[in-house]
Amino acid sequence: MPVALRALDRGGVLAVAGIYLTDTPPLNYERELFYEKELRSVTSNTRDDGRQFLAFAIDHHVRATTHVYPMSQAQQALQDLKAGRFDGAAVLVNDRDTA
Amino acid sequence: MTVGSSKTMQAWVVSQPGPIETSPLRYVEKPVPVPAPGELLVQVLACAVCRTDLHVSEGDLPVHREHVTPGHMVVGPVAALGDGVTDYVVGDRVGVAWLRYTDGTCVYCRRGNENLCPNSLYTGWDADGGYAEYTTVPAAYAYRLPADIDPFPDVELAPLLCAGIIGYRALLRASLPARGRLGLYGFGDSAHLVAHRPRPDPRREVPAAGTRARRGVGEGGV
Repeated sequence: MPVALRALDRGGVLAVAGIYLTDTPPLNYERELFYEKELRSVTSNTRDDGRQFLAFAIDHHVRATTHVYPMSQAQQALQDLKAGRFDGAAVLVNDRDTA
Repeated sequence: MTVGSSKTMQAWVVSQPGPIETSPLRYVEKPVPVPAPGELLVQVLACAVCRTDLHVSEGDLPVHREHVTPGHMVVGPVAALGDGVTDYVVGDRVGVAWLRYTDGTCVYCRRGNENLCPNSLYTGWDADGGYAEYTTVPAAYAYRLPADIDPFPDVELAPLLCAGIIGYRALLRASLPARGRLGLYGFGDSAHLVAHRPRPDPRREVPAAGTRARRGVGEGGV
């Protein structure tokens, strides 16, 4: 967080999209907050946010890089996520014939 | 209900929150949920994995529901309707996301900030989610998705339902001005998707993280 704040231009905003973070380290006021830099959290979303984004994503065909796991491997997918073994998004899939 | 002949399903539950390396999840047989009034039963065809699922599984977030089934980026067809649902039919393709209830009456809801509702409830934390064959969602909180799998396959739509939406909200919160510069930090699935978002506006640049940025978006899960 201090690195991102230091990189901001004057008047810049850092928006942090995390539901859980470890403690933030002490901030140096002059280097990381002065010049009207702003630090904002992001808490969940509204349904309007969701509808707007999905409409945009579908219109512009926004797509993630995905790594598919069978549903039975969900725990492995979480372990891989924590270990940083992939970029993009892991996706669990059920077999249509067995669901 | 139209859920086939099976009344049970396979689902993951958080047995005892702890480090994911200790395998805190168990894959169990449990009843197919019955949609409450106003809810949809959704067949899970794809469920993207979020860092918040990791926080739920490891106990970083407090337990809201014992033995909860994680997962809040679900794509699949409506399998059954709860009483009173009139705006969906069985077979409609929907998305199930993180937010699943707000009271609609608090000061935050009334001013358009339902994300700040103190009585909000969340899929895969307060209620069972998508690491299963079926899940439920209040119809008012479901997202209608394109019916065509081509060019919108389930696995590509699923990550949009949290990583994409939260990344979008983070981008809004960053108030990126015209000709502003955006830095992305922590290049996970959310930042990965945000990187797509500003491109239609050529006035907005997306430099690599670490360059001097007018606005920044950091990522750490939902």
